[in-house]
Amino acid sequence: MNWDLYQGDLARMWPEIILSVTALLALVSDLLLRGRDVRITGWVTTIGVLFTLFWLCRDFGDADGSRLFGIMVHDRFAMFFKLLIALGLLAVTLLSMHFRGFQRDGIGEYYSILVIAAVGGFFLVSTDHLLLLFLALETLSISSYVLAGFLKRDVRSSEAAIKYLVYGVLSSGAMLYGFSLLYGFAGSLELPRIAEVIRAHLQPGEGGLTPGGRGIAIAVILALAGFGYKVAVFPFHFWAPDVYEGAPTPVTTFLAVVSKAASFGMILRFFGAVPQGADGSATLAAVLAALAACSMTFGNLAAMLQDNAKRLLAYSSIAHSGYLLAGIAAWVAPAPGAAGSGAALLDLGLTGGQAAAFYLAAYVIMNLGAFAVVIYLSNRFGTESIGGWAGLGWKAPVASAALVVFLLSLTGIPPTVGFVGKWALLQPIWAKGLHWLAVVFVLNAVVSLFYYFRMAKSLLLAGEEEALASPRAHSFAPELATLLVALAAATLGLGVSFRWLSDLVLGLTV
Amino acid sequence: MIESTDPSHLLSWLTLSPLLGVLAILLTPKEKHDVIKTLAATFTGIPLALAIWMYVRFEQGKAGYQFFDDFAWVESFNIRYTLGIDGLSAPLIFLTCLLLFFAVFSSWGVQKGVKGYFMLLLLLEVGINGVFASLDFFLFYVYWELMLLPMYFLIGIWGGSRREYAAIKFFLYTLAGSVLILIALIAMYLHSGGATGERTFSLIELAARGQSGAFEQGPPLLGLSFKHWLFLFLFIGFAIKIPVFPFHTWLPDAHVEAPTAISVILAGILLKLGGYGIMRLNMNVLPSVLWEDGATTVWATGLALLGLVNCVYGAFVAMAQTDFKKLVAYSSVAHMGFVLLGMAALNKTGLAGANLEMFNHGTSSAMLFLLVGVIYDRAHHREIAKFGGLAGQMPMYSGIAFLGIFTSLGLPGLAGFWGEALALIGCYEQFPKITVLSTIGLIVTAAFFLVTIRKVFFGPAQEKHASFPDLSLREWTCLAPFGALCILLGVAPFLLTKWMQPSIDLLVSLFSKS
Repeated sequence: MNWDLYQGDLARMWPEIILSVTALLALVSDLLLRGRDVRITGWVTTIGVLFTLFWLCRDFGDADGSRLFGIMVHDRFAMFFKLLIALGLLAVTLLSMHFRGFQRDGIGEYYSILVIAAVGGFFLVSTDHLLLLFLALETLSISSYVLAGFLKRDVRSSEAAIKYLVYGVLSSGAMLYGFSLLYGFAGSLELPRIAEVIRAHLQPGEGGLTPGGRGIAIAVILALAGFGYKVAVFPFHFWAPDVYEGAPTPVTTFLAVVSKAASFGMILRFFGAVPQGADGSATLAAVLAALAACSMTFGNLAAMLQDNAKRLLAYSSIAHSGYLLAGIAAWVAPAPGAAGSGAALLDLGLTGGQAAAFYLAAYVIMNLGAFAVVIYLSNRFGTESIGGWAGLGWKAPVASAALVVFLLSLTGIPPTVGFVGKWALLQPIWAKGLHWLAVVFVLNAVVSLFYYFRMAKSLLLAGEEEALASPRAHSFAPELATLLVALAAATLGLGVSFRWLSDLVLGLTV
Repeated sequence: MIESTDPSHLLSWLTLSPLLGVLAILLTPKEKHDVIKTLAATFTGIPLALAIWMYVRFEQGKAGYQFFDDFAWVESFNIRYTLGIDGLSAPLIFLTCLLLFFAVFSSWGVQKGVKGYFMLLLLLEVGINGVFASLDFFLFYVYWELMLLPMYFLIGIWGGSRREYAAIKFFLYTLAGSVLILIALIAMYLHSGGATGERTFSLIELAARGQSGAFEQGPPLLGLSFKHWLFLFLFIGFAIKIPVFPFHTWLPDAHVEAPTAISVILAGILLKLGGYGIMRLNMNVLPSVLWEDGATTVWATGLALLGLVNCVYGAFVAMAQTDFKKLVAYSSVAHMGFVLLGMAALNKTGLAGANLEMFNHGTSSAMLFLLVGVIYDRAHHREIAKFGGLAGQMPMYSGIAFLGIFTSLGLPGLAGFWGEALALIGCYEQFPKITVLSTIGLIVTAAFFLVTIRKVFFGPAQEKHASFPDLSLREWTCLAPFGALCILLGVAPFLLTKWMQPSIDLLVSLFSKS
């Protein structure tokens, strides 16, 4: 290996290097501290992640789209998603330190595996080479299987891990088959090269797909199955509710937030290779739009029946995957009105990809907040059942108020970042002529209000006389409180002034 | 379009000053009820004082917007923080400040969660005033939705026995309307720039472009043209708030379950937001849907028909009620029918009637809900049949109740008369048959109110009500200003109309015969 040639490339990978070193330090610190305070390992991890975040912010402006080692792209898009992942990792680490289920023994290697999963996420969002993409995805996935089963004495946790593993292996297989087909057609594993081949096969105006085009369609659909599994889109969502419920809550948070953000980064990168405006893109957009509509409708309807807060958030995250997929559908859809249908050709201010990235930022913040409150409330009141929280909100006013802010944001009501995200997503959806999808989208937001506010109703509206459960000792750790308030402030603040976030997203080349 | 901004930022202070109150109450310990209530009174008093000052400074002969405030908010989407008022919004802002101030006094007896209650009340005022004052559609929408959450909790925590159901029903209905407005907002924005021009959320710009046909060309869907879809989405969104039949079913639940002060705000102001929205957006931005080639379109007829249904149906349903509060709630549905009829007329008389009706219903329905609250505090029930002979037992209460009821049924000489009369006269010019039919609603309204008076205030006196004290000083303070307004605006409606007239003339000029 020519060291000089790659030295520059390596210098651009400091965030990955720091994070990997953090994983090792967490392991070493656990070895040294065995049997004693596991929180120190948590703090080591926190400091490492903070350092990574600092480095990402420092290097953000330097990301110029250059290629690293021929298989990774050093662009703002990757940096943006790495920031989201690191932010999520930071919150999950802090939450893990205060999760009651973990405060027993030998969970030191937990932090190490958590960080390794995030390293996988970092590579996932920065590669455009299918081989590295698969390796990164498996790094993320296999770490996640282990994390889901971390409560060894809890049967539900073990069940969650097995379920997650079986579904995961199956969909990875399907995706890998899709990749191999793509390799067969393109003779390359690099997405830009594959894009050229697709473009050649999907020439507009030929009337139907060529045999090669049909093969590519099958390959893309197979890959889509793998992607759909990772982000829990209907009909690949079956694992999500059980895994979310069974896994330790911080791990659930990781799966719902960090893993999903990384996977959507990968999906955006992949579909960026599908040339827009070609014949096939209308079909692909129709498929994606149908999946999106089913996913949001199913997720929201199923969530209405849940009593377990984690299960409810699992179904809600299926719905949110649907919203995001709707943005991607609008992204790959061809522009309407080209055929002179009387509709004016609209210049898109915000592309579907940018809108999806925007929404993901909102999604990360508000879901971290919602899960943080769930962890706090279940620590405090000893139950994750929404009915069990009846009337207890008055005993935890700050957490309840913060939860209301996150619920507003999840529903998409201003002035919160979730509203701005939905507003951003609806723009390309409407502009690309997917009017029906826009209507389904907003009606789903109304449905979601019903179950999100069941939490608020149980906590605050139910009479105080129903507060029978005896709350445990009050322990609002300062770092948890800081996290909660910071997330609530970010949800509201970015809802009122989203100028810099929108400028950031408009600078992404998706 | 914005000539000069107001250097005193009066509207910003007026809309946002209650937020300072929210902050002040937040920092007050929750046991100090009196401090919290005093703070709430202060921070609803400040907007009221500013509203009075606004009334003094308002240039009455001017048709356009005044008191501009304008800042860039999010440049990349051309979203601006623009405030401004004209003759349509100024009276409603005044009404809001007045009602909220007295709502604080009528809530003085609240015991449960005092801190939260008054914080939410102040937040509600920010939302309502914000909607009336904003001239940027995005800002309008943010304020529009800001109202929902405080209202949900105010009904849901402090309401009656079925409060949880009523609160979520209110929230779901209104949100369902709002999201349709959101789609219209996005569609209007995307098409506002044409193929190349800069897009805008400014209501002034949108109106100017809409009136010159910017939304004629959008993509038709399912056989309906783009502008009609926009109109329909906006209309449903606002109609749920008004509420127009068949979207009215949230109203009786919410009004009945809400605590008195909140019912007052719901009936007094929240219903007006719908009417205001229709005038500001549907009529101003998309006039060609209602008026084409010098004549009303089928859409205007539809508006009038909905008004007719509201008048007659609302009145008949009100007549069937046994609960005093439900009766008042349904009478609001009937009154909102007159607002729709006045708007459907698309002429000066009709629109003046609609606007007067909105303001006067604000004062009269506020009075009626306060009156129901007074009797409920004493009797702990609201069954009309179980009352009787109150006129002898509570003479002062009965006197002011007659004033409220007669205003509401439109007795000439009192404020309620002018709105209904002008709306009907205006509507008769365009839709004589519908107008004649809708007078049935007028008669039924008079009938059920008179029957109620007979049952509650006359007839055999109830023994157990003999010990009821008459109005307390606090109740007098809340009722007297509204009573005074009902008489004053009945004698001198020009105090309001000269405020509104130039703006109404400007709006009506979009629907001229030529």
